[in-house]
Amino acid sequence: MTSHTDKPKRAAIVIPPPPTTTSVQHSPALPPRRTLPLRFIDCPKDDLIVIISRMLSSLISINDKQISPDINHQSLTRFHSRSPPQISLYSYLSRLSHYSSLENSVLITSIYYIDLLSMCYPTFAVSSLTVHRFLLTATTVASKALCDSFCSNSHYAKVGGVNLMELNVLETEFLNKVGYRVVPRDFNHDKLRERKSSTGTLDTDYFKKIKLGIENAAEVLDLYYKRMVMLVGGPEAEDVGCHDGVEYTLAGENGKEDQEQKLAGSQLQAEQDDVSRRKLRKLNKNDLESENDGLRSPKSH
Amino acid sequence: MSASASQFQQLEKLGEGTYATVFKGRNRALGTFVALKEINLDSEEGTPSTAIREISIMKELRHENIITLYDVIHTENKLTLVFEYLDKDLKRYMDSNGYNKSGALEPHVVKSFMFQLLRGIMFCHDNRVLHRDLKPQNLLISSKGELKLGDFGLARAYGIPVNTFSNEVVTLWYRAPDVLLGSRSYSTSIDMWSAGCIMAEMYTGKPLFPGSSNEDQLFKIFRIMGTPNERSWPGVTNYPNYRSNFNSFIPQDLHALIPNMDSLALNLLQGLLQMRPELRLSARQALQHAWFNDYTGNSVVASPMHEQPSQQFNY
Repeated sequence: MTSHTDKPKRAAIVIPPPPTTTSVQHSPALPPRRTLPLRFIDCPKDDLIVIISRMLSSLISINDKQISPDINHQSLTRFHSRSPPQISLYSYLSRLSHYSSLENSVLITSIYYIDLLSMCYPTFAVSSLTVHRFLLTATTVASKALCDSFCSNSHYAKVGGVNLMELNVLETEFLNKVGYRVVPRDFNHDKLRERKSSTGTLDTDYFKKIKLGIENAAEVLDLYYKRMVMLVGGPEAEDVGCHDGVEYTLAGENGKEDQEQKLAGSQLQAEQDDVSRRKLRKLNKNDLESENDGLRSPKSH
Repeated sequence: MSASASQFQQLEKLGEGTYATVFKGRNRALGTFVALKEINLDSEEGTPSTAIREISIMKELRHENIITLYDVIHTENKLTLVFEYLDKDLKRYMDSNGYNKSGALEPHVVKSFMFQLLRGIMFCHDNRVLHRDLKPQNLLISSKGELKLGDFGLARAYGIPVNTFSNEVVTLWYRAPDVLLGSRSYSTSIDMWSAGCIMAEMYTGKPLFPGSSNEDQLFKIFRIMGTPNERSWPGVTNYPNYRSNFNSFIPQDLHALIPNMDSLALNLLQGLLQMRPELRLSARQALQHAWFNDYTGNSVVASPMHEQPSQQFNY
């Protein structure tokens, strides 16, 4: 890529002052513990945005430490800003969600897209410099790919604070990098098969039981949701500027072990769970490398 | 994704849609034909949603009864989808191959096409994809008599729960009564109604319900299938577009309308044209219908392209 032309000409994300809105206000006197429904479709939007912001913040705090401050041309992507935009991650996501009426499935798919894009385009990592443009692009693509009602790119660009032509370029870049395969699917299946084969314990029934491809899109998103709540639902998660210190748990969850047992209720579920666990490990590269179980909040170690 | 536009020689125009123009093309290196669907990029809109859907879904669906998407070529202001080339669509096929210029097809041809259509639909539904625009113009026929589903611009992965479900789907003549009545919670049965309409049209050469507006479409359906009421369709009065002053019709005998249809075919057609979506046959059930017994003895129902056991989804 022609990174040297990208770097200096990149305009900053400019957020016009929002009209009076209630979506970004902090609710006073919240209970320290909030229970979330088991399925993402039922999750209140404000809570979902907090969870996603916490997840992104923890990824960013890990990735920012690994990236040297001098961005070299190899590591520069179209998603980079010159400097971290002034607007906080939580406020930015709330803003996108509010003015572009993002559905829960679109919000969670954006997190899935981090894994998808990182897999197809290893140069990309979500960081304080890339997260805003990434979120704008991911929510734009997900809305257009998955929902029957969506807006024009000129609207998304205005809400996101970037120039329309830049959003179009970002959208094209994203679609090309992931080969337009934007319906959520279990892309770890191939690796899973490899792993099982190499240990010599290939169980052919296993592959008949596990669901493949886009037909389990909803399950993939539900697992992303559950894992996020487990990873960053705790009160020790990163502060994002809303509901900080609140502990989120899933409905019917009496503790993480209980939850694990419930998920492992059926053989199929257990296998999917395994796939998802490794997926979220990938999402959290440090955990993967440190042989941790991938379920703890990154802040706790 | 490495193709470039210069690899293909553009030949005659095959058709023009609302957002794309389709040309016949020739692969310069191989000499083989392709269909080139050219989509103009508008800067306000970015990459059109229809293109994102069509590409993202067709890349995941590989089946002998679904058109293959070979490549996507992105240039400055144009997106070109490179598809496998088939000679004509079912509409043109009926116009040129129907007997006595009526457009009607021989019963054995109808059976072969229905069988392939239902297999393609079943594969979509097994992958939790709704086509949402099945009609003769979107079914492609090869010179060998193969039928393949094309044009997935309105398709959607229905497994993902979302709050917005449009009822502006499916070309009017092939749109199911529950969708016409305003349903936004439809599912796979929406495609099965279209399949029924297409089946009848292949027998007669004429569209079964050629309505001119949403209301007229319901009127034409009711006149043949009977006007639904709470007794024949519990809950029908709750649909947003239901009117208590609908003209009251009693169901007609489909056999009188389509005399050249044998009784088994008629039974299948009635299963597909059930007014109540939950009573409509699924693609799998339709393929197991006795009308197809001389074809396969049901071995086709487990699709060869699909790794998972077919009984996993029972529609």
